[in-house]
Amino acid sequence: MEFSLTLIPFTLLAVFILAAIYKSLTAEKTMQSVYWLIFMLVAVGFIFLLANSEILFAYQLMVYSGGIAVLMLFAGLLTEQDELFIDSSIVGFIKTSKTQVLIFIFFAIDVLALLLSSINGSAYEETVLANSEYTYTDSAHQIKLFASYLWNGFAEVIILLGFLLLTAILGSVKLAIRETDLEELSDEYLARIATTSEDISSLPGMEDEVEV
Amino acid sequence: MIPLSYFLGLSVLMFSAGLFGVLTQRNAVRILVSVEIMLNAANVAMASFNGVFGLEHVEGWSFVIIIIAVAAAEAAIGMAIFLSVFRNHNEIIVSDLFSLGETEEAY
Repeated sequence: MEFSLTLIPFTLLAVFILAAIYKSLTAEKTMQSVYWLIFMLVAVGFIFLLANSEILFAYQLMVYSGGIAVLMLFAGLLTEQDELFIDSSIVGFIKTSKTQVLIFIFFAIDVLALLLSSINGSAYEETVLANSEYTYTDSAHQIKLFASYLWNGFAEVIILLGFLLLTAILGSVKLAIRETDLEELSDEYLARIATTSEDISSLPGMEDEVEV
Repeated sequence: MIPLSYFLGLSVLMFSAGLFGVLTQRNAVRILVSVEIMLNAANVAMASFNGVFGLEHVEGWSFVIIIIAVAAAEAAIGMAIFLSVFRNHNEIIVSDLFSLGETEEAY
């Protein structure tokens, strides 16, 4: 296999992604875990760039690194319970979570075997074109083709996704809002508050304090 | 030129690490982080396959866009559920949630 300069950034990014995942899974605090996830998401965006998918790079930065990551940061802030349950020693960890380790090893071997058989097959001998052979015109043409493909072939799916996201937003608001919040928004509550403050202000000696 | 196997290898490692996290973590936010890692692994695989099949194919991109949208919806709903559970039980450790002695009606 001939050496390509694009292999260097790919290798560096791959190592960084794996290190970020490791740190994300073993960080002591949830917030640190989310920070490492954000780094990982940005690095995956650059991997998209290396795979000649500029539009996915843009989407990755906007939606994942910009939206989902911030959502998780807020969740980490609001539910501060920073306990790490993984044993610090490897022996202790294996003793406490035998089943999980076995399932993981089984799945990893299974997928690796599938992957090796796929790569050795004739269908996957080709390589991904790196940016060295990719021109601006090619990129523009492909993005134009993508837009046309998305809005013609996937028009129904896009509408469905819109409804899904709308439902998710409404569902999230319904789940997250408290009944007391709703009560605070009602006219009755506001009227009651106004009446109470008037009552307090009418008490002898409270006029000045209420005004302040 | 980057071989497809490199992308797929990275994708498998990411997916395995995410699965490991889902199986071992007990904090709900950390589990969601692991799920995001798994979804990103799938995205890397699809983007790399799209690169192999040439400039006239964008099917892989379409699937990645759909996955990103579904991941966003899943993260929003997941976070709302966790916040709701945390508010009611002051607890976000999933293995402890089922040992609080609560009945189904409480949820």
